[in-house]
Amino acid sequence: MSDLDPYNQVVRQHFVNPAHAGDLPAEYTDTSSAEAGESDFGARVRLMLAQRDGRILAMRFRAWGCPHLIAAAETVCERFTGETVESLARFEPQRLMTMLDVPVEKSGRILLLEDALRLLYRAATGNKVDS
Amino acid sequence: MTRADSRAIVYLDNAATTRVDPLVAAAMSACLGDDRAFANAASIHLAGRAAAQRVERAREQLAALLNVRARDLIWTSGATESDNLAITGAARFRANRGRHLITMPTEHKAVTDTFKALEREEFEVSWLKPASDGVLSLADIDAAVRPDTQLVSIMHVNNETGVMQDIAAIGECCRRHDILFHTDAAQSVGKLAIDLSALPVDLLSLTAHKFHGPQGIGALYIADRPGCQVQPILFGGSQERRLRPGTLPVHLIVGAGEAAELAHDSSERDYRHLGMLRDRLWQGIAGLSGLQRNGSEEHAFPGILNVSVAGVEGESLMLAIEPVCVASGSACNSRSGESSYVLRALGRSDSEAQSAIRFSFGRDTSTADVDSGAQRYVSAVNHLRSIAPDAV
Repeated sequence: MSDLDPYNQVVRQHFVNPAHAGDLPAEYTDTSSAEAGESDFGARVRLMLAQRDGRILAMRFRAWGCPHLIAAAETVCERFTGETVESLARFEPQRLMTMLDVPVEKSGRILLLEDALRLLYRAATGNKVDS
Repeated sequence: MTRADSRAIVYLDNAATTRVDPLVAAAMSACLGDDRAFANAASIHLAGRAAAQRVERAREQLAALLNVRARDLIWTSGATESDNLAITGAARFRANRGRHLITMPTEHKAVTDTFKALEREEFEVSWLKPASDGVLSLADIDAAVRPDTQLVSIMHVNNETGVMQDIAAIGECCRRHDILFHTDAAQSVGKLAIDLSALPVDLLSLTAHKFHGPQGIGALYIADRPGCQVQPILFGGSQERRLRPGTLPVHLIVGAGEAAELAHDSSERDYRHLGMLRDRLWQGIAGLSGLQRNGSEEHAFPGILNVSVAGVEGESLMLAIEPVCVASGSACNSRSGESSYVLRALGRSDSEAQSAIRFSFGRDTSTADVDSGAQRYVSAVNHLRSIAPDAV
């Protein structure tokens, strides 16, 4: 990424081709979803997963926000598909920010995604313990 | 260094700058190695006088475009400098008569920031708000005028919305009150017919790169009439009637002159062309739900179309329509991410302003460019809406 291009190649690629954008296929029955943010505040994201026996079969997202948010949601869905539901609790926002060269003034978008993942983890595990 | 983006650009951002006309580029290039053009135009030797002749020839070309005397035009580095010189120079010149000034919050930052600087010099500024369509009421100007008012500055065509103000009527109002009237005409000179011999305008700013001339050169028109003067804001030489010192960039000035002559010759054709392109683009996108035009349709410059659309975020929209080059609702703050203060002054919400896109056309814009822009815009909006949480 040049100093003049606000988006690195990973962001551009995931923004242009968000393979995980949309809704879960209807065939899945054990599904959970969670949402964080508000459009009025510039960012909103919904995460959805389908699981079986504690393993994530599929993840999808819907997002309203900047390219970094959309790319981050895509990255997260790609990363956790096939992993255990428990792995959601080990999300590391800083690694994602580094991968996507998220500018510091947009770090709130990634923290919003972290909120959504935390809520999704709770929904998927029935964990009602406050963070 | 990043690899170059090899996609062919679709340029619909002519309000930001225009491509230099090939004839202009050729004239400028010829200057650089020409014994009769390269010298310092202030030098009294043979080479200097030859360069000075080129400068004056270009001044005549620009004067013909505006139907004024050449000697009433001062070369500057562009409209930003012309705005600063006109506003600051006129305010300070007439400060002993009064320190009240009038403008609008929707002016270009070169104007608003200059007025804010004058406020720090203890001038008092009245900021007249436009109606929701961007048009200023003449009654509001009349109501704002005070015995100590010395200057009104209202732009001819708004750079973001394309809204045209009635500068003839505003000028008449100012003349009645013996107030100087300045207009930033950066978006209109070279595109609209402007006859300054008939318009009651005292000070007018322009820049060549908006009408297919080079960047870095503009001019300030100063009417030759009693009480209409400016104090210089730069010091260090006697060039340009001591109002704008500094070595004149002959090649840029020659380019500006050529661009002015080309604009003069093609103005009617260009005006029709711009209107056709704007209407074509609007027709190409009007089927989108939640779409609104920003700015008056009745008082609209044909070269600019500013639209907002519901349900999409502005920054993502800008990236999604690449390689179409447009301006976002951040407009002149393109890199700041702030939503447009102009659109917010028209009553648009933050999200409406932030999702706004300004399309702007030039002499060399083709229907293929516009069709591509429209198609890309519709596709981007539909895609972003389809992945939004509220998508149906």
